[in-house]
Amino acid sequence: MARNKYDVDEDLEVEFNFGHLKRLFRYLKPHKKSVAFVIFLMLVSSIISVIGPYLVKDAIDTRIPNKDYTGLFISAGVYLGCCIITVLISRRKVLDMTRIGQDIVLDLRTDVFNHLQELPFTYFDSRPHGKIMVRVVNYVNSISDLISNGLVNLITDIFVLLVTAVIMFVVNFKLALVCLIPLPIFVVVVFSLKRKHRKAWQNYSTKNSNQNAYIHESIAGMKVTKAFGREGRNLKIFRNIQKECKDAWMGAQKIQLWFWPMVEVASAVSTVLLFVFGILWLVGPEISDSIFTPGLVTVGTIFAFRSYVSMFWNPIINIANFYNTFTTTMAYLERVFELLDEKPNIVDAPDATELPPIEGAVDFCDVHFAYEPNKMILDGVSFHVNPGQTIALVGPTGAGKTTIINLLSRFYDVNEGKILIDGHDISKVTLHSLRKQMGVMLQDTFIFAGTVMDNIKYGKLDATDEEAMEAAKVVCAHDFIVQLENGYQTEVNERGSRLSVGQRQLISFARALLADPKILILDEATSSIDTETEMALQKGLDRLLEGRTSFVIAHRLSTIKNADKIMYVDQKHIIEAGTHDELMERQGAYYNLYRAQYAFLEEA
Amino acid sequence: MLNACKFLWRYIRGYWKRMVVTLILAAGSSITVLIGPEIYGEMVDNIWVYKSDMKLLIVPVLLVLAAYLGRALFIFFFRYNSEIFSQNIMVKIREDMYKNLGKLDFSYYDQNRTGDIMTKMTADADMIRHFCGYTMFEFARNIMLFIPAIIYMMTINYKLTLILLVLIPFVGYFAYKLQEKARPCYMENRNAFSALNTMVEENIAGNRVVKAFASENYEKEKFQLRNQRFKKAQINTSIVWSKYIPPLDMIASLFTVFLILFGGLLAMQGVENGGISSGDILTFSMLLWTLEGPTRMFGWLISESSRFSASVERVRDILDAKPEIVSNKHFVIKDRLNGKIEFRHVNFNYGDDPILRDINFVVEPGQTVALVGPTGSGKSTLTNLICRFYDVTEGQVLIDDMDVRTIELKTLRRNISTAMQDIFLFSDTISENIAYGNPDTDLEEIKRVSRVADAESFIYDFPDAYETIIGERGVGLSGGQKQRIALARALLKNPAILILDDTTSSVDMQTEHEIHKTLAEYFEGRTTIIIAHRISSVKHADQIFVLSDGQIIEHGTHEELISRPREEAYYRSVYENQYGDFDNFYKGGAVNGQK
Repeated sequence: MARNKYDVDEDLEVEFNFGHLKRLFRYLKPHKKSVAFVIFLMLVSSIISVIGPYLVKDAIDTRIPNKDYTGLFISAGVYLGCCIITVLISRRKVLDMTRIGQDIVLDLRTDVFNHLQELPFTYFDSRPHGKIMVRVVNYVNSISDLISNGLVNLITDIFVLLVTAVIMFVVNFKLALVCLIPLPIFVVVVFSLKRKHRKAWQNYSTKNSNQNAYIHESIAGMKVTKAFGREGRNLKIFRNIQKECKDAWMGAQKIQLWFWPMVEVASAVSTVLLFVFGILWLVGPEISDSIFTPGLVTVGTIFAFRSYVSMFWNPIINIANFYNTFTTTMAYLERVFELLDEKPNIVDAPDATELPPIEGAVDFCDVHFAYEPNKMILDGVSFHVNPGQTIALVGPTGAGKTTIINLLSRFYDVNEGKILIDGHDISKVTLHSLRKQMGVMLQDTFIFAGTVMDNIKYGKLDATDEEAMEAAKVVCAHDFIVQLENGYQTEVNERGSRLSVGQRQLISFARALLADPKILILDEATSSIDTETEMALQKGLDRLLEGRTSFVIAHRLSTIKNADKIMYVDQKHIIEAGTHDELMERQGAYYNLYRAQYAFLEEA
Repeated sequence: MLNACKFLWRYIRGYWKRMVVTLILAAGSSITVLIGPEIYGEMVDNIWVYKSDMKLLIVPVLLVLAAYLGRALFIFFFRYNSEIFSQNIMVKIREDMYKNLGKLDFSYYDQNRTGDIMTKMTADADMIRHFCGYTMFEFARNIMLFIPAIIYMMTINYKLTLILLVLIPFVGYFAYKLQEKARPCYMENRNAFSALNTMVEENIAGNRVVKAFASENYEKEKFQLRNQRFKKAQINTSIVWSKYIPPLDMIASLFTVFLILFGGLLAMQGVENGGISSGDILTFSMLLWTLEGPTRMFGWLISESSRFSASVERVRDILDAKPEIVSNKHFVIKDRLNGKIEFRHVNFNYGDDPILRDINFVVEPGQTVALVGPTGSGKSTLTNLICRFYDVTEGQVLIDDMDVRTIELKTLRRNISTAMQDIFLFSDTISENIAYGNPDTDLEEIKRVSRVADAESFIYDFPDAYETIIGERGVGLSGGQKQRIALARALLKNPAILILDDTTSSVDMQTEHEIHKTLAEYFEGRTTIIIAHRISSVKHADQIFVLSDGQIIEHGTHEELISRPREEAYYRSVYENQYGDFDNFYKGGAVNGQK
């Protein structure tokens, strides 16, 4: 499995994919009506805003020369009225579009997060967590801007653009034609930059993702960094990463920043053309040529056109800005969609059924498994476990003990063969119903930020405090918990950093017990627990293991000895199985292991 | 806001030259915009002159074109410089944050959550960049547009200008109100965002547990709460916005209303009666956006500034956090420490919880000591005091007869190597992980320590051997594998004092035994502290300390401790428990052997 680290860029297709856009629109669909309404309001507002320049023209051309006081007051009044309507509409727009934008962000983020819950271990194991985080949180946010400001504005801007163009043509066709000359040139230039622009933003999103990964890992691993005195070196790496990020940003800006000045120039050329031709047509020499016919325009027309020209080019600045936001956002959204497209390889079969309450019989039937092709970990493993039996898995590190239990919880799917629980093939039942009935205590204990109580209850969310305490007592965690500042209500820090590793193991032990599973898996659950606690624990444990099928992985032989069956895993197979006494009798691998331990004790 | 600006000033100072250049360019882009209306106004006023000579049009047209071309260039270079300027500042702020994070104590990391620190370093720092690169210059640009435009308008017609300026105080009022109301909203906004980030971070980190307990639905609900909170914060902000921005927009529109009305009235008076010409009205109408624009922008800029000051506050949480554990002024710098360790009446409290009480002992250089005792008895904490990850509450920790607080931190930590119980591996190659403390070590040395830690055997099982990239925190590796990589990492540092905190608990006994045997040779002459639960790991130690409830309850060598009276002898009972099995086995084995 190719793993990714902080300084490795992720690949992404360069060509724009319209599928992404379609997907985005799916999120917009439920808000169709609201969006349509806002667009309608915006159109009204833009029609009204077209009236403004006309009123000014009217005032200058007729009211003022005629000293028409009432007319002037009416013009001003109408203008004021228009403004009030526009302002009210824009207020409504901001409120509605923020709501819609945030709804979409919420939906998209929910989808991303929920999808993340379905993804297998391998997804999380094969990339820095900072890179996943930035997708769920930061990148999803970028879409809100696109929706709440960009989209509606785009539509209204296009509308204004068209309406203005139409009005210009109606008022004076030739003058309008002259004013629009710079447009095609502008469009051609923008399109020629398109691909480069997009690539530059993709590059930035990659570098940004790298930077996030490094920051995240730096914070998470700070204790190690300090212990090894590596702060200086890391700072250098960070500097470098920041520089790459900055360069990528500037690279994108270098292209993007030309859009605005280009519109400015185009707009200026339009205005200049307007004045030159306007004046020519107004006062130009009498030329028989029909193009230059004086009297074609009035001073008022020129005034009005000047407004129209800026009304025409302003939306283009906005559209160019939208285009920028769009390109940036797409560079982020592609990463989000990429996550959404990640196939969870372990999913409920289409015809999956609920696993009924189980007794706990487990069968491995000729199970083959490899994490990576051609590197078999298990090569035809078969065994049967009766309900309520305790199975100990022993063998050298990396032999496949953890793999066996990972397969049992269906964290991975077998390559060949079958695993049955009470005769049900685990690949044919729902994951939820399967894992709900199993309690797994992993090698890596994970404590959530929150109270000790919350952490124990994680195994059974609706448990009462009494139940949780009962579980804690059984695993000998009660004593140390009540000694904490606030007992069960003590806030443990992130990952339980204020607790010792042994204490964390006890808490996650209680958590696994509270879940009251039919099958209990203990993967080196007690490695950091002292002998005395472990022995006390053993008594409680014996009681608890009763009536449950359990799989225990441990190095301490005392933990293993009492198992109903000990399986020695090595060389991709189970090479020995039986009770302690049987295996001792056989004098095989287990016997050697046991003897060796004794020898070490003697020698040590 | 004032505080936020003061804070920013500290950073701007380093780049003030570029800021001045940027401002000049911004001014350039503003001034050039004034040329157009002036020339156009003149063109209209002289409109009938052109009739006689159309060539007169050439000069003004070229001037206008030049002005706008100049403006376009000004805009580009202004924006380009403002981007560089803001990037520089953000890079510097982030770097300072990163530096300070490197200085902060362990306790800071115990109390602050990764997701939150991360948000501050990424999103909040970015908000400051946005302010420096955009908001700040927009402010300046608008002011630079506003003031010259007003002066210019004054010269054309002061009466009309003054009438228009009547509206300005209202702008101030609404802007002030907006700023006041928006700030708490943005603070909540940032906090909600951080809460979201923190939750996601934890969910990703704990994905194995989530799956193991099939609690995906619970996680989804938990997430939905944060997701909703963030949405609500965003919407609340927009509600505040909708209260104060529309009045500002309204005022912006009133400028034109005033122009039509009062401008019209003045024009009707005629120039000869102190009125204005229609050319002047045109010029005014073309300049009006220089009042309108800034007024409209003002509200937006104000809310951006509130957002900025909320982020500054959060960024300062990191920047202003002071480490308590710092090198003393008159610290001792030494290349190599001998490794004598002494605890004198050491007490240590974590918060109000007493963790260690009156610890006293001396370890001579080169000795191996073992710490045993129940889970949570304070063993790891004790070693943390030696490295000065925490400072003692009372008493003294001495190394080579010097209080650790008088030794330079670098000297201290360079000479002590810890294989922590809580193993953190980086998502990097195995060799980079092992060489974490000494990044420039050659591969041979890395291989050598890997052999000592008995890691090489499994490393070669990976497809890329030493170049295999391991997952974050070493996920995918077994507990024993992680421990051995962490051990190799600690060994490579070649320290005077080596602390092995439960380093081999997940390794099988046989491997552990071999590791300890090689270690004994490797660490000849170095002080070693071993924390372990297996008697076999600690039996050889020169001194064994038994900790219980933060106190040393037993002390001695293995032989001394096992010969203590059975009643209150912790070590002996542990020994007998671990050995009891084997005694039975020994007998059983002997019987088997005879068969």
